Amino acid sequence: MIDAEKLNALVDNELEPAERAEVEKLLASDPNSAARVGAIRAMKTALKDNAEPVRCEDEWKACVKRLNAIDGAKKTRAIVDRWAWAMCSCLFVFIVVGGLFNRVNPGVHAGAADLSRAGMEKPIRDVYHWLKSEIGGTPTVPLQVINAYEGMYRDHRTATIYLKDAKGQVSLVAVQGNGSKVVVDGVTPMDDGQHFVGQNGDKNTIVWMYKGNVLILSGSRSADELLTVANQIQF
Amino acid sequence: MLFGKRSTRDAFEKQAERVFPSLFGTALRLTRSREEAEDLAQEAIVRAYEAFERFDGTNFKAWMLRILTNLYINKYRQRQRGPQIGSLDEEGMIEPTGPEEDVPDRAIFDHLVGTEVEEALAKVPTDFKVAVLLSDVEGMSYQEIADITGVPIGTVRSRIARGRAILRRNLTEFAKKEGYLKQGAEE
Repeated sequence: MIDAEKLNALVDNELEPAERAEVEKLLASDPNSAARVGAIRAMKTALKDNAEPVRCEDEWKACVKRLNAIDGAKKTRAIVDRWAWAMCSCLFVFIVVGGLFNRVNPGVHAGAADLSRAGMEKPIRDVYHWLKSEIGGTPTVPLQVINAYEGMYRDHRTATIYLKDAKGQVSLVAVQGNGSKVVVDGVTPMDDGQHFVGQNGDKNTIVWMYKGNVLILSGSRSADELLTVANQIQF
Repeated sequence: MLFGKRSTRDAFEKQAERVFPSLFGTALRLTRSREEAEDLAQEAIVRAYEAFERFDGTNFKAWMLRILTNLYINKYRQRQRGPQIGSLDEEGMIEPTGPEEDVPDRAIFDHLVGTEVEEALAKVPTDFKVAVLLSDVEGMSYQEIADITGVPIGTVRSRIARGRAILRRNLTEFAKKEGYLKQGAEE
């Protein structure tokens, strides 16, 4: 009896010439093995013939779609990889420029909503110097000066001086007119026709004009008391 | 660079499209589920595309089938329940076929139709089935099958012989049941 593996290899044409010759010689005198070879051949043919071709157009289209998605992701990744240094550089430059701009134009964004907190603290001497050159005078104030800030209010440069007496703290904001009209919302004219009164948060506020610039005095005290202080401030 | 990538994609797609029917057919015969076969074939295509730069350029179909069968063996077979006949040590495995002297009637194979063959194939343990399918349906040589399945050529030879023996037994039983072959006719 010939080994089954050899018979199968013979059918598959996988025997070396010498081995093949030997098996074929044995087969001539072994009808049982010869019949087995015939059966293996028949089964191989049946398997091949019955393996119907499978329709797979839709499945192939799905594969192509998936490959497209992979290519898309690769492309995006390649762009990010290639330009990551540039994006990081841009961000770095943006931060540096923003920092420098903020240093040169302090408080550009901070002063619009809340005047009392607008700007960057500066030595009082520098603020007075700025007031003299931009507003046209330095104030003589009846209260103790605590600190001073420079900042912005609706595109107008400002200087804020914090003052203090026994009744508490008040702030004096000088808004540079800069040739255009400064609008202060929520104030009404007072009886003297020179001052306006209103509220800045929970504080009373007195507003008046000086050489085309606006002066705003705010504090947690009555409007009359603030008006008294305002009248004592001389430029 | 972009043109290079495009041409790589084109080259891959061209070759993959040509072998896809074989790939999908093999996947279908292994999984016996169109949905699972689609997943398996698609996964194989994606893996192959991602590794295409490492393809040595010799036999694309064998390379693709290797990816597919490895995927099937690693991923899909783990999900199967029950004993894994095909994963037992082949040398120590009990031969699940009839005695060697049983000679089947070749006429039974003439009556078979596709679904009967598919059903008989489904009962053949995976490793043997892969070897038989690659040899008889895909027309691969023993060396190619050895490369695809990652086993020595002697193991391929053994798997094909055993796989066919199991298949023959299954088909013979089927033929007896359907009346193509009388009981005891092959003895």
